[in-house]
Formats: sequence, C-alpha cells, structure tokens
Amino acid sequence: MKQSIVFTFWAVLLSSISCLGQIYIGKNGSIRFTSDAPLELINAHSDAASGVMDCSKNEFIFTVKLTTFKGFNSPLQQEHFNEDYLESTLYPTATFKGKIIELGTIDLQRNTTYTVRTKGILEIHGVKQERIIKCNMKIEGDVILVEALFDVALNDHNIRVPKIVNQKISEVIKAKVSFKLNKQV
Amino acid sequence: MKRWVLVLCLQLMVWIGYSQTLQHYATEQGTTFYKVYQTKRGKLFFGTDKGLYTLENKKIVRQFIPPNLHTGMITALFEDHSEQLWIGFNDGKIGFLSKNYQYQEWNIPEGHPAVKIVDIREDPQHKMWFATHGEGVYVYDNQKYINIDKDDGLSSNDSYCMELDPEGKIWLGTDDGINICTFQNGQKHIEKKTSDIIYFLTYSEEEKMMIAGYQIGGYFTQFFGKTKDSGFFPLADQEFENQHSITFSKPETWIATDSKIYTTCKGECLFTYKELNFDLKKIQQLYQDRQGNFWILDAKHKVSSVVPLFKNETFDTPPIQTLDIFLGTQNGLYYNQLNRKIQKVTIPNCPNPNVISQLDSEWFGTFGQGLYNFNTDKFIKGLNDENIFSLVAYQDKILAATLAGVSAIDKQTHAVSDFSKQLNIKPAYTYKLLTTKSDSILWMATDGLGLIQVKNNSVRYFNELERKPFKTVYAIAEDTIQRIWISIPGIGLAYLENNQLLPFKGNNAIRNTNILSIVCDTHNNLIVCHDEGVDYVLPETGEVFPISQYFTDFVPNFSLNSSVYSQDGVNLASGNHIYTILFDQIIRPQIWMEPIEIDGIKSEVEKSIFKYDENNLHFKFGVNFFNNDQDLKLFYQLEGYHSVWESRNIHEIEYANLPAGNYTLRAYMTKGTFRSNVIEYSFTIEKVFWKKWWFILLSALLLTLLIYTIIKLREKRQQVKSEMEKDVLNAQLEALRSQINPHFLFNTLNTLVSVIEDNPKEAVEFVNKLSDFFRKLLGMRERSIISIQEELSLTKDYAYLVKQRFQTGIQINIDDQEAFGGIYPLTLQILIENAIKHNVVSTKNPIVVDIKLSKNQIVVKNNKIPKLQKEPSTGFGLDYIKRHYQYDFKKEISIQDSAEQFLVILPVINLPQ
Repeated sequence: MKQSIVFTFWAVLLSSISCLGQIYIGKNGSIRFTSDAPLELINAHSDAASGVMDCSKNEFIFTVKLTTFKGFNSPLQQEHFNEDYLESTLYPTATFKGKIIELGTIDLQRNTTYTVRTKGILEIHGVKQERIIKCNMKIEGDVILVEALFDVALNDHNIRVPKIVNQKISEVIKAKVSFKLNKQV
Repeated sequence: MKRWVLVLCLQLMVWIGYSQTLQHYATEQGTTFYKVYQTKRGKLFFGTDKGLYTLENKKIVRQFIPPNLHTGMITALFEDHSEQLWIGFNDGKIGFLSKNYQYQEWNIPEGHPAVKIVDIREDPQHKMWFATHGEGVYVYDNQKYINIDKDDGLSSNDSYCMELDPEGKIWLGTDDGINICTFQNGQKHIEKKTSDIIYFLTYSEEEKMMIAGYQIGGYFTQFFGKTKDSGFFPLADQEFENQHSITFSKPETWIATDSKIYTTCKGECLFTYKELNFDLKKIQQLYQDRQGNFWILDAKHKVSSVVPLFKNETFDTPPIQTLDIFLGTQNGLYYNQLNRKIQKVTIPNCPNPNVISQLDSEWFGTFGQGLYNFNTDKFIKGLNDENIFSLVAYQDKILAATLAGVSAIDKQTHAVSDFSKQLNIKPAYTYKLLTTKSDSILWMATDGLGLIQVKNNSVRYFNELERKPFKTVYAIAEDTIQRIWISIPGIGLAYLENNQLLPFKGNNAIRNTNILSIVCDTHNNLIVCHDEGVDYVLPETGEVFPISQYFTDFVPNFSLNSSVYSQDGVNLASGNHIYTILFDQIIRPQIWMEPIEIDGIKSEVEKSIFKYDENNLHFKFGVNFFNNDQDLKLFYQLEGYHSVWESRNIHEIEYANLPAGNYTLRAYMTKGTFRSNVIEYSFTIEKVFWKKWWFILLSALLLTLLIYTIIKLREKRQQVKSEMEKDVLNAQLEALRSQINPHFLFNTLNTLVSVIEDNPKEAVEFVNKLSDFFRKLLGMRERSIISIQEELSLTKDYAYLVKQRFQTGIQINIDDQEAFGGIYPLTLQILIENAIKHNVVSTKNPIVVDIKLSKNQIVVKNNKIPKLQKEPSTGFGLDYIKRHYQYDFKKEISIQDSAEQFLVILPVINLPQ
C-alpha cells in the first residue's frame, strides 16, 4: 500500500517533468549507516536509493528499499536487520519527504556549494518523525550533489532491539546520504 | 482596576508639572543598540550590533561575548527558568550566557535558522520557542527541534514578536495577525486571531490582559476566567502615526512610535494618551525594568533612561492594612472593618450617644455627653463644654474641640485644662482640629475666628481669602504633599500655599459649598461631604465627580467629621446608614444588569434558561458614576445572534423573537473616554417542545406503530379474502358436484324413464328443462352476484325437475312478485336442496317450500318432517351462504329453526350499477 503511494507520487512527478524544468532526479543514490556500539561496529550501505527534487514547488522525496542494504558483518546480521528490526516485509521502504527551508537563498545557476536545512517527515519502520536535517548541496551545472549526515534514534522509530544484542547495536544510528541529482530537461 | 487609580495620579502630576528628563548613558561610538533586557538578578543587558553590553557603574560596557565570536546584531534576549540568558542574533544564530556569565554558542545538529531571531520565550513545559522573521517559529524540547511555519498553518512566516499567555500558550505576532501556538505530544496546534501586522505583544500580569500593538494602535484581550475570549478592545482612543513598537508597562502605559513616546496622562482616562516631550530618533525599544524605570533605545541618544512619574506611589504597592474603623453617628458608635459587617458598639450608661468624633479605640467625643474613655468606661468631667466636635492628639495631650473652645486632657492622668485659654484664644465654636503629620502643627477650624494655626505655642489667624474676610471654617484636611485644605461655608474649598490661602478653582462644580467634611486619599484627591451628598474632587484639574448617587438610598445628612479614611477607601455615615466607598469602585464605572423583562414582565436576573415563547427579552442596565445620560453610550454584543459590537445611546436593549439557542450578552458603557467593566450574561432559549428530541422520538414511534397496525390489518383482510375465495371455489365445486351427483343424475334419469313411458311429450319438456337448468347453472357459477330474476328462473327450472321426481311429495311455492335487486347465485337452489336433504319426502305429508319475495328481503320457509337418520353434511350449504353474506355484502341472514318450520330470511342485495 505504502509502496503504491510512493509509486503514484513518482508517477505524478515524472509525468510533469516535461513541463517543468526545475525537477532533479537521482537514482543509485548511496545511503550508508553506522552503528557504533561498544561491542560491534556495523556498517551497511545501499546504492539503490532514489530521489526526486522539484525546486519550483519546493518539495523533494528520497526513498530507499531496505532490502538493498549490503555490507553487514554477517548474512545472519542482514537477516536480523530485515526481518526482526526493520520488518522489511511490512515496511519495505524508508523515506524522507519535505522541503528546503532556505530555498530562496539558493541560485541553481551558480556552481557553488550551499549548506541548507531541510524540513520534512522521516519515515522508517512505519513511524513518521518530523525532522530538520542539514545538508550540503553542490551545484555543478545540471547536476546537484546532495550530501547529508544525520542521526536516527531507534527509539524514535519504534525499532526494538533485543536486550541480548543491545551491546552490539547502538541506540543512535548515524546515517550518511549522498545523491547525484540530474536535471530533467 | 488599579489603572483607574493611576489615572488620578496622573492628573495630580499635571498640577506638579512634568519634570521628566531623559538620562543619557555614555556608549561607544557607532554602536547601534537594539534590545534591552533585565534578568531576575537585576542586571541590565543590551543587545547591539557589536555584541552584548551591560550596565556597570552607570556606564554601558561590552562584556561576555568575545569579539571574535558572532558579528551579527543581537535581536533577542531572554532569561529562562535556570537563569540562562538566551541570545538571538540577526543572522539566525543562537547562543546563551550561563548563570555565571559564560558564553556558549548553541549548536545543534539541525542547524540554526538563516533569518533574524525576533524573540525567545519559554513555555511552562520548559520548551524553548524561537520566533524568526522569515521561517516561522522553532520549538526545542531538549530532544527535538521542530519548525512551525506557513505549511503547518501559520498565517505568515514573518513574525515580529512573541509572548506567553497565562495558559501556557505562545502568542506569535506576525504580519498577518496573531497566531496562538502550542506544541504538545508532537502535535502542532495553531489558532489565528485578527489580521493586522502585530509589532508588539505583551502580557500584563497585573491587569491579566494580553496587549497587542499593530500599525496604528493597540488592542487588548482579558484573561479573567470566563471572559478570556471576550474579544479585542481598542487600547487607545487615538491613532498613532508610523507606530512601529508599542510598550505597555506599569504603572504608566507608554507607547512608542518611530520617534515619539506617548503616555497616559492629563487624567481623563486610560484610553487617552499624551505625547511626551523627548527628542528621539528611530526608537528601537522601550522597556521598563523591575524598578519601574523606563529605558529607551534610539538612534540619537543610544541608551537613555527615565524615571516614571509615579514610581513610589504604585510600584511599591504598600501592604493593604485593614484598619479598625469606628464611626460616630447621631445614634451611637459603630465599629467596622472595611468590607466587613458593621457592629454597634455598646457604651455603658449611654445607650445612644451622639458620637461625632473619635480619636482611636480609646477616646470618643460625643455631642451632649462629653468625652468618653473606653478603657475606663467613663466620661471625662470638667471640659469647656460637653459638646465635642473633634478630637486630636497633640504632644502628650488629647485636644477636644467643643462649642466653647478647646480643652486639653492629659493622656496619662486624664487631667483637664482649658487649651484655648492657655493660648489666649477666645472660646469659640471649634469644629475641627488637625495636627500635621510632618511637623505637628496644630490647626483649628472655628466659627468666628476663622482658621487658627498653632506652632510652638504661637498663634496665627487666617481669616482672609483673596482679601475677603471670612469667619467660619468647617473642615480641615491635609494631603500627602503636606497641603492644608479647608472648607469655608459659602465659598467652598481653599488651600494653603506658602502661608497664603488660595481658593480651589473648581468650587463652582461642587454641588454645595457648605462642605462639612473633607477626606484626602493617597492620590491627593479629595472626598467632600455636604448636604447634597458626596463629591469626588480632583484638585489639579478642578474636576468634580458627584459620587453619592451610587448609593440608591442615600440620605444627604452627613454629620461633621463622620467620614473616616483608610488606605482602601472611605467610610461614610449618613442617617442610619454607613457606606463604604472603595477607591477602586469610586473611579471605575460599574455597569450592572437590571432585572430582565420578558414580554414586558420583570423576571429575576439569575434566570438563564427561557422557554421557547419567552423570547422577547428586554435588557436594562444600570450604571454608577455617570449622573446623566448625555453622551452615555452602551456597547453590546449578543454572541449567538450578532457578534459585532453595536452601540446606542440608551442603556436598554430589546430583542424580539429570538430563535432557540445559546446566547451570551456582553455589554459595557462609556461616557466620553471613561469606560466601564464588561459584563457578561449567558442564557439559553429552549426549543419548542415539538422540536425536542423526546417529542420527535415519541412521534416517530407512534407513527411506526400506526403504519404497522395498518399493514397488519390489511394483511388480515387479505387473508380473509383469500379464504373466502377458497370458499367460493369450494362451494362452486360442491354445487357442481351436487348437480352431477350420481344420485341427482340417477334420480333425474329414472324420472325421465318413467316420464318417457307415460308421456313422451312431457319427456321432451323434461329434457329441455334439464338442459336449460344446466346451461343456466354453468353461466351463473362464475358470478358473485346475480339478479333475483335470473335466480328465480333457475330455481323454477330446478323446482320443475324436483317436482317431476317427487310429484306431490313436494310443493314449491314461489311468490312471483316483481322483485329487484340481487342475490348470491344458487342460494335458493341450495335452500331447496337442504329442505329435501333433511326431511322425509312423502305424498301424505309433502314438503312445502315457500319462497316469498318482497322489496327488502327474500323469505324461504319449509315445514319440518325430520329424517330419522341424518344425512351426512358436507358443512357447506347454509353455513356457506351465511358467511358470504357477511363478508361480501356485510349483511346478516336470519335463520329461524323451530320444531315446525325452518325459516331463512335473506336480505336483498343492491345490484351494482
């Protein structure tokens, strides 16, 4: 259901591409997360995240399928990640949808780097949290490189980690997101 | 309410004259001062474009924030509950100064706003709110940092100010009205009010009101219990040009525009402002510190402060003392505490003393019985005269003013001496004695000698006013600025300035110049009693307000010196009544509701639920203070009917045919710039009973029941009808069966055989009749009603057949009159058949069937020769005919069965047209 909503959103956005020149789309975006717990350091990443940014409407959506995360310390760990902690079958995607607070200060024609704040809803594990996330935007012609670093508290998203492994998984997961968005002509 | 008192203070200041000057503070050159804020510990901080400054030894110095940090202008300062001073910058950065003045930049991963921080507040849950100009408002609850902007329902992202209300809600002043915001459990809630550009919001704890300033003025809303949502009222009666900031402070209300400061003054009312004569340019902020001093930041003088006019008067509110008050009346002495029950004091041996003076709880002067000491319960003997007007403590003595000069009584020994004689003053009527509080000068009001001053045993007489001599002084009073006020009969009030007596300029306005008593309040206004009642006198403006019509049963009969003054108010004795006037109430006009009239008939005010037909309501209002109705205006609003405030010049409102519903009536009155309290009255007009739920429910139930019954009845009728139809079919079958009954056929054929043998001609006739009979029978069977003629012709055929068989054994007599009408088919045939069936046929004793037709009925009669063995009955026949007549024609057939004969009376049925 949720997936279909996301697809509808995509479809609407993509269909309006031809008439609006302010839309940037990025596929194969990278999301990396780090759990730095006392007993174990877990790094996992996905290169299958996608994002759409409509600068004329000031809205964007970034989404990633949780099953695309790779690089766990063991296959069992990946299984736990998908089946026990994030319940990927129930909640297959993680999304961040919102707007840029300081959009007015950005000049898309200039090749330069901006630090902006985004305000939106971060949905992981079916729990929506309103967040302000700082990110860097580097404009290179028709390409925007977006990079953001933020924390996700497991508690905020109702992600339950069994007591037995909580020495191995950090309460706060550090996430790093980088996207290359191409302007749609 | 205290503001009304303030108005009076302000009036006094006109008399003193404005002596306010700005005190400027030395500052660094080129620094723009933007914000001033005082912490709870009393330290004053200044936000500038060059950092944070404080006031140290009357110098404004830069402190705390290192110059290498933050170059932006400080635009917001706020101290939270843990005494951290939050600092907001023009560029959106936020920092704070810890309790021990260590500066720290506030860094959170979400980052700072990119626009100006306009204000900072903390709500009761210790959430910090940061209002910005361009990005709405941010909330931080120690974990989450949330933004609320236009997308969340805010009127505008550009805010100018922020304030916390007593309910813990954040009021945000934006350029599109006020937004009242809360953030709880992740839920943002925003309520929008008005649509002005709000430059300033401030909550006054004392007045319990939120004041908002917009482009050209201000308005306020009150937080008094129920009336908290009473709407916005204008703050001033005038508009301000180019106003960009507004400050509502206590005790005086000051309003700052771009380059001018206005204050409430010149007495009239809170709603009137006067410009102060300060030379200012581009005012950034007007602020009042905890000591009451005003601070002004402007482009010309940078930092200036000014002391308010009435700093000591109202800022350090003295604790309210409840004084024991004794009231001397012509009927005795009364004891009273303000606002409490008045009790009569019993004096032994003297049931109703005419007490008109009282010194303290020990000494009382009576008119006629002399001086009374409460401690010893004894009258003091040996006074100049037994009629005492006034008592005063002077040095170590008690002085009593009598009709024959002044007597002195030693406080300890109670020894009496003639004080007048000692000072060589003629023994004259002495009405009033007064010792000044500061220098203990004694003043005497006499009849004949004028005003006498006694200073260090030297006596000075004042008996000329503007070179006109006077002899009598009724009353003396001293105000808080050591002015002596006296009353001279025929002239009015006069006061002493530089040992010179000057007349009061407003004497013409006092209703009676024979002033018997003067009381001065803490604001140096006078309450005077005379034969017309009580007037309130404002010395500096010369204005006089008659206040005694406030008492509906007022008797203008004041005894001399019978008014007693305390800090809360004045007690007045009049006739048999004692009145307490609280200062607040004297000044603030009060409005109240008179009993409501319903269809012209008075009802109690307490009533709040009216029946549906009690909807012609006539509201009347009473108001004190205003003695005439000229330029009196009533403002009113009936929530639920008209939410717009309307005004009219009479204090009555009439509503006719109010529809059922809940209403709240609010009203206040104004006279000129004076404004009364707002009263509120909620009431309900009930719905008509047929619109009430129970009635509708009952009707619906009844209707359902009715429909149900009708359906059931119809069903039953249908059932009966179908039963009948079944009966008809059965009967037809039975009739048919009987006709082709083998017996019938056998008998008929037997008869035919015998007839053929005897008389062949007759046989032809017989066969013809038989076939006729069957033809007719077939034709009739289907019909429910046939004419009597048709039935008779069938019956005759049948009778012929029967007769041929039984010969003389049966006689069928048909009274063949012309008969009209209808009959159920085969009825007569069935009856004849019955007769044959149940009786023995013999020639000796024949069966006689008589059929008699008349206009209304058919009578079928046969004699009875019963068979010994009864024929089995099929249950049809007679019973079947009976039922048909009942159901189809609603008619009864009558059956008379006796030993001799069997008689059936059939009613004639009308044939359908």
